[in-house]
Amino acid sequence: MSSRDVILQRIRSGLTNAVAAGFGDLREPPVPEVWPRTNPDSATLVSQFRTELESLSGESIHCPTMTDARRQLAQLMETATWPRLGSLDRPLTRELTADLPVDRVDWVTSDWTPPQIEQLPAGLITADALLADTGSCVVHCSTATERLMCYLPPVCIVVARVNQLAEHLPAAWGPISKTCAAKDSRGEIVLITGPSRTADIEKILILGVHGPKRLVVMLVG
Amino acid sequence: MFIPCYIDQFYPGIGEAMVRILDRLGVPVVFPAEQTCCGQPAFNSGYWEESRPVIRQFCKVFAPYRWIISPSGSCTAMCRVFFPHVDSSEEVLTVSRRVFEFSEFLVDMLGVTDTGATFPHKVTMHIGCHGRRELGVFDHPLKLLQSVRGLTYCELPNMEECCGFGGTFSVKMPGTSLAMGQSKKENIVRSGADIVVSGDISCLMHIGGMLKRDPATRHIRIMHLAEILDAGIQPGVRS
Amino acid sequence: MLESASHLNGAPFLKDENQGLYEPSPQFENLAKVCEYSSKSNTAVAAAILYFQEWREAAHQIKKYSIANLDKLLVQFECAMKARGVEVLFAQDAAEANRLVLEIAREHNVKSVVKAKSMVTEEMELNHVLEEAGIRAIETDLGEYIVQLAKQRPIHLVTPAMHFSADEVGQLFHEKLGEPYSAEHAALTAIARKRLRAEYLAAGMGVSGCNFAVADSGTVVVVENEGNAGLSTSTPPVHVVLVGIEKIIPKIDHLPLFLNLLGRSGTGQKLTTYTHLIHGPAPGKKLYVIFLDNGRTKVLQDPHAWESLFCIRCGACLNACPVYRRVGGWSYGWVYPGPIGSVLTPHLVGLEKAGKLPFASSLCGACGEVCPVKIDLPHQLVHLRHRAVNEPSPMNSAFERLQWKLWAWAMGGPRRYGLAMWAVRIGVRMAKYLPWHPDKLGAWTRGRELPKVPSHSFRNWWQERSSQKGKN
Repeated sequence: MSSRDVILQRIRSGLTNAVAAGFGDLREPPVPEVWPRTNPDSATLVSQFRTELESLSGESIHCPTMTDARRQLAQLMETATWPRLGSLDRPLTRELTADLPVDRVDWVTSDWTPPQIEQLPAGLITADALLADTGSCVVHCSTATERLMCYLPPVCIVVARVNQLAEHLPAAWGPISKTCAAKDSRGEIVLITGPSRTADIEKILILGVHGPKRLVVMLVG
Repeated sequence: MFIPCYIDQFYPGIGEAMVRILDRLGVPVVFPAEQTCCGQPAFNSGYWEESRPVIRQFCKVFAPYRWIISPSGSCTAMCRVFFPHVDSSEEVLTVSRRVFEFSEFLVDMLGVTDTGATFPHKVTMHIGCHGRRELGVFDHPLKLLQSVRGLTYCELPNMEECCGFGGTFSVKMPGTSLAMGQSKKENIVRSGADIVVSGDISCLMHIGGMLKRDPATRHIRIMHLAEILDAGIQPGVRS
Repeated sequence: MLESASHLNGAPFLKDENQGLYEPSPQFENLAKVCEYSSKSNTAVAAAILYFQEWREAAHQIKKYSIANLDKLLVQFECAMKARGVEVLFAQDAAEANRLVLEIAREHNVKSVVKAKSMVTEEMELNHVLEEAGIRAIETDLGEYIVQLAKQRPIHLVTPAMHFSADEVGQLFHEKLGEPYSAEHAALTAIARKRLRAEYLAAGMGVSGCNFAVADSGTVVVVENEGNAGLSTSTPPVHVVLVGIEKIIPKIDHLPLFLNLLGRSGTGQKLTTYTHLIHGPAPGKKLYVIFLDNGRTKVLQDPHAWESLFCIRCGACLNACPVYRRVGGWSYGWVYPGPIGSVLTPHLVGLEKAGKLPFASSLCGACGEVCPVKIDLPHQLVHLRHRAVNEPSPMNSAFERLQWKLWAWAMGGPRRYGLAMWAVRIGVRMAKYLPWHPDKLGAWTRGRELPKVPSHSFRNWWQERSSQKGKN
């Protein structure tokens, strides 16, 4: 008998004893609500998201228009003196970087190797949803490259539209749940809540231990 | 009344104070003399079979009584929470449900928070873990203490942490028990109180023993809540 | 210093009896303060949530249902993950799990492994096994990296190197890595970052644990703050997940509840920095999930003990435990320290070796109060104590049993009780004349005074009072 079958058999026999002892009859518990829906307006969501993210030493930039966003990105690059930016190829990132000279944007594709991604001064990605109550970005990464873009570059810039903001995780859960259940899903969904951190030495908080030291979220709209 | 063995033998004054308080409140009290012990020491040591006859004896003695009051959180917890683990017969379950800790009886059952006491001293309170966590007795002793006239209440820092008594734990793991007691002692000193009060004299035996051993803290007295609630009562006062 | 389960009886804690007055060892003074602070602040974070008690109850019920349907849920998970090209394997014990990992490593020609934190791999002593097979195993969680360099075991579930000062880490990095000495936290972290990046890029395999294995969707959930799990599992071509069978939860829709609980109870955070919901291998990569039994199915034989399998490894009970705070994580002799360790170790390793652990507690109940899945730890402890004295274990003592039988006899009625108490009173009065004894009586008197013996007992007083009333 394979180990799998041995273990399953052990479980079954252990559980039949439980049934005899009166522990067996359990109905599937309902899915709890966790947080109630209060449906705040867009301005409240933006404000909450930014406050949360900033309390975690993340950065957020709110750009009412795309033009504004492009300007902010250029400013960011100049202040930080990044010669170039690595970006995943998405409609939103194309829009955001439209103004930048061609040699300042590297389009990161699946054939990029981890050492190449590691060399980028900053990485630009998109989010599939944002969570206002925790300042989190929900990012679907179905390829290795998409995953590495979240963790390898020392600065991670996330661009998203304001209408992608959800009140909290339960409010954003529908699409996440669907993706997790889908047979053809690969890679991961990662919830990114602030820059990488550790308090392993004397409980003193330090940012950027393995993942990005800076997390910048650009909210457009 | 259920008077635990260590109170019966070493701190009879607590039982006496309890009787006087209940008398004044018009509660008819009886002390069934055939009582012995709740069985907790054997139970906590894992010897449940050995504790069963003691538990049965307890339930036999107290079967005729509707309210069984005890000036000990840990003994009450043993009766109400742990009796059923050892013996789930109807006789045991019936009695088990009826055991109450003194302060919870006063506050929850009688609705009394003022016993008419006067005690003009600096007092800090230690709340025993079994009473606090197994029975939910936390507010009760504090409410009662607050009504005592002239009393200066000194908050005990880090009140939630166990004093380190734990019954046989105090002699089975003395190093750790004393380390925990040391922290409690330091916090008592920090509170600035002259007297430590608790609803559990068992904890105070341990804390008090350590306070007495150290010349710097020898002056700090231990008292049971019942003794304070019985203090300085003017003759003729009915609350 | 690495101890395996076979050395359990030699663990320092279990020999506590005569270690002198006022124990905290200097190296644990810091631990006590940090645990106290963590516990207070995390409890405050939790208490601030209106729904926290409801959440705990809901989580408890879901975990109970999961254990009650463990076999079905494991099969459901296996099915869902296999459909995505994940290899799902089962190991009866640590030895088999290690064999499976080695096979995978050999198949993929792995020379070095980067590891994210996983308690299950500590049960397996995987690093040791890999090193013996000539494969380098590098811990990537900063705390684990530090203790690995120092060749020590982790002292705490969530903060493994809590007992190290920055100065000590600086010295360690200088000695073992040849880095210039610094006691600055940022500099030390930067050293670790630099070193470990090189390891991620070179490694042939990444190993992680799993916080929740979701049955209906086939999802492996890993939570972390540093990003080391993200990197360990996405950079190398192979990712191996080691997970205890009890980590299964039924539905993906249950996850928001558990994520909200775990962050807050474990580290006082709303969500950890990275929460990974892993569906399957990314194109070009391989994903393996290995389920480990290692004694967990034994726990199912005892329905009273099921609760111990609900644990989500948050560490809240450790922070709250007054005993753990003073003795630290090594004293528990095996992988899991603190209250949950005192419950799990006897179950997984056996009472014969670990029978003393459930007694290392004052039963204060602080642990049960903070547990996010409402495991009644104090009740689990007394239940194990009962088993320990009745089954083969170091606490099963015919002599002690006799003592308790005598005590029960003495408590059998008022006259016998009176006799016993008379003997006790004499004993206490005579105590100061007796030579100091390390056991029992001496254990009390070496740090405490004995109570004074009053002139009368309560019974005497009551009798007097009753006879007086009778007269009136």
